[in-house]
Amino acid sequence: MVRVLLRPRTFVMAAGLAVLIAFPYLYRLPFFDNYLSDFRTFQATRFAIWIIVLMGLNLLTGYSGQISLGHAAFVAVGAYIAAILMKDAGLPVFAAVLAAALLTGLLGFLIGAPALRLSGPYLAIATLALIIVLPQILKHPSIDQWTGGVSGIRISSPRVPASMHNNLDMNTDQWLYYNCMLAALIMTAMAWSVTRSRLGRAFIALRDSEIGAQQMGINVSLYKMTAFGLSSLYAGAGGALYLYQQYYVGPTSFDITFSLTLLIMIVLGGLASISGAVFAALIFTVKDDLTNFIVAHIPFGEKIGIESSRGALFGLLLIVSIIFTPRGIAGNLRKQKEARPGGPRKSRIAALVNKIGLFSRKEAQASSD
Amino acid sequence: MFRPKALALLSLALILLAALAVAGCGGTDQEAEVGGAKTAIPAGPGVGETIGVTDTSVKIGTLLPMSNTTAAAWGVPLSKGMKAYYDYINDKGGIYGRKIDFIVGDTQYTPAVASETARKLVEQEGIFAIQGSLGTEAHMAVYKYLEEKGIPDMYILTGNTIWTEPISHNRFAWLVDYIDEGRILGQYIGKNFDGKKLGILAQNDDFGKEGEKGLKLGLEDAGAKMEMTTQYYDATQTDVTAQIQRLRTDNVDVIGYYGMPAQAASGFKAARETLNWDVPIVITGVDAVEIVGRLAGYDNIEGAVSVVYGHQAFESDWPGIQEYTEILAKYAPDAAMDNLTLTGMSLSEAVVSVLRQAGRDLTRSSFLDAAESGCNVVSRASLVPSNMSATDHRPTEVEQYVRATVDRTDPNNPKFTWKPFGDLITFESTKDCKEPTPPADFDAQPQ
Repeated sequence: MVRVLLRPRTFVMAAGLAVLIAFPYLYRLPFFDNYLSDFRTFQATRFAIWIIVLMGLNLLTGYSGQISLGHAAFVAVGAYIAAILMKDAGLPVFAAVLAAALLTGLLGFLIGAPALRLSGPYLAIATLALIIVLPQILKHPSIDQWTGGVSGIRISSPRVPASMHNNLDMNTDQWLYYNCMLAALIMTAMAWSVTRSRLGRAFIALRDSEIGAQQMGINVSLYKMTAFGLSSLYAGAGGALYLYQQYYVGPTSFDITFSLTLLIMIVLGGLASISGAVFAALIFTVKDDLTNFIVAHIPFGEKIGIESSRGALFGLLLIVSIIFTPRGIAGNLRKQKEARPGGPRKSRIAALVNKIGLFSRKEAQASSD
Repeated sequence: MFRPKALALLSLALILLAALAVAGCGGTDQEAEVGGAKTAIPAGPGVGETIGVTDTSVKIGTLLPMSNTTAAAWGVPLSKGMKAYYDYINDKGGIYGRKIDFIVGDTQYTPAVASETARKLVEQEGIFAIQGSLGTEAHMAVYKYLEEKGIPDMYILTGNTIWTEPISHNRFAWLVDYIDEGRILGQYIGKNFDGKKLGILAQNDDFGKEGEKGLKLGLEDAGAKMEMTTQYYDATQTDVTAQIQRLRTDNVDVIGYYGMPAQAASGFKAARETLNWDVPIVITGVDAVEIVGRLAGYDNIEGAVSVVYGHQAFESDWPGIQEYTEILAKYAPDAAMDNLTLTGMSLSEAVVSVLRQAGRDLTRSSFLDAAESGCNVVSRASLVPSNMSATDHRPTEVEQYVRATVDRTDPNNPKFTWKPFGDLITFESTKDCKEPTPPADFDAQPQ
């Protein structure tokens, strides 16, 4: 038992968990109060939500190789379903989030059908259409009694339960953080197990060679639709939690820019990797702080009008990072690990995938780590 | 297709998710709704009354699109105007010895970023008040939060009716609301084009729909009988040629246009250049700024009718405008004097006048009470004095018709202005106000 606890991996995970639990209270300690505040807790909550959304997108794009430019549409659908269920049906938050996730997942599964006929850029265009039409649908007069039309839906603001407040001195931001972070941990664990199951290996096989996958007896259409459904479930859960934290959703809350940014983030973080999605969420959360910081520290920035060209600055950062870390942050870390003397540690899964013999050795290592 | 193990894992994860929710999410908004008893966090007046205030400074923030969208073309000059005015006040020693520490927050014109930025200003920066927030949906995502925290949400720069219906003690609008404005434009159309056919072109959102409603009310006011047809375009589309083409096919005689500046410019170009169609266009006051003329091309916009609610940047014979021009030249030499920088300055001036009235003991309550007590308040750009009350949170209740005019006396350098015509239209809702007693040293404070 002690030996298990002393394993580096277990130790790191336990330490990480402790940090996650302590984080929202840290700002009340000296030293930390210079850097942290309720606002950082709020950002960390956003981070947790983006983990969920990006984890789902990574299952679809990273693992199954289906490019979706319209993923934000599913996030919006999740948020709207949760909003309607909470406001009109009066469902408690947990039921609304769960129902939103499942319903969005089901919708994604059905919308995955065109993916059976389309692939590559054609699929990307079809999914792009989703995010373009969605605001029109949400604003349509025939359903605006539920969606609130152009004004969107506002639910009453979340509150920390009195017991938590009295016993743990917890405020609403901390309460939201624990809710969303716990959900993110569970969804991450779920993604981890999916990618290491038969399902995950089938996704990877699909991505690398559809014909090969078919040869191996994989039902291509079913698995493609499952990939869509699963990633939509994640998006729906993320959207519902976003609504819970934000207590407002409007027809342009999730637009094309947001949708494309999701995809960019996942590429930056690292495709086909659990930690990649976490890195992606981290960049997504701090990207504005980062560009603000750079803008504030560029000498003579004001003279060249840097204030209004933050978008261009962000684009530049993107280009630089794609040049230096073409496989994303997670991919780059992995590469370093592989380059270590003595080679990478062999994992059981890698060995298993190798046994199937679908991929070359290198690919199998890359996709199973 | 699934192995039992994978299926089991999946369902386990879902059950865990449900369990988390059951265990955790007990206390929710529903509980909060039931009554104040279960609401754990104290809110409202009394909390954080003096956050952002010291003896020598007061922190004020704004929420503007500063990057990433075309809207940044509005955020940048507005913020420069606001800041220039505060620099001017600070140079004169501030208000009751407090210098204004002005912070610009970037919303990128999107709700998600706006809410994050608002929280950053409130919780990281510890601002005392917010002023001049721009963008309907962006502000929709933050106004309830500001209301709950009791933070003064001064002079919102969009004309939606939602900000003052219902009135919240902490929130004040700035523009004439779109229904009232549309009504005044509608009255003009009714008077001048009675019996003809009106084509309404409106953005497909709150802004466009409220404007459309106003236009129709205005026609009724004027007792005009007009045939009508409406075209909508979506806020994300910047080219409205198709909609203009459609109105042309419908043979309309006049266009009532509720569009944002980029689309407005596209509309003028499409009508005059692409279709060579000399239809009269009556357009929302949102577009009565110089930049729309530059974007559309002076030849294309000439003759269009709109409304403004104050003196304009080009009126160099008006003393207030002269003073603004001097302030801007001194404190923001890189900014051009136009209606946007002007709006920024006069908005800051309005906040300063509230700070003066609030007196030496500045708290959020004293500030908001001072804002509500405004009576016969005149700023450098105002057309008429403005009155406020507990039931009137709209400082601007006056409109002036303007016409897009190009002065070609110097053919190489034509001058574009929105030239006023006709009488002032006032609809002040606070008729009998009593001027509040000025606090000690009131007159010694700069303005």
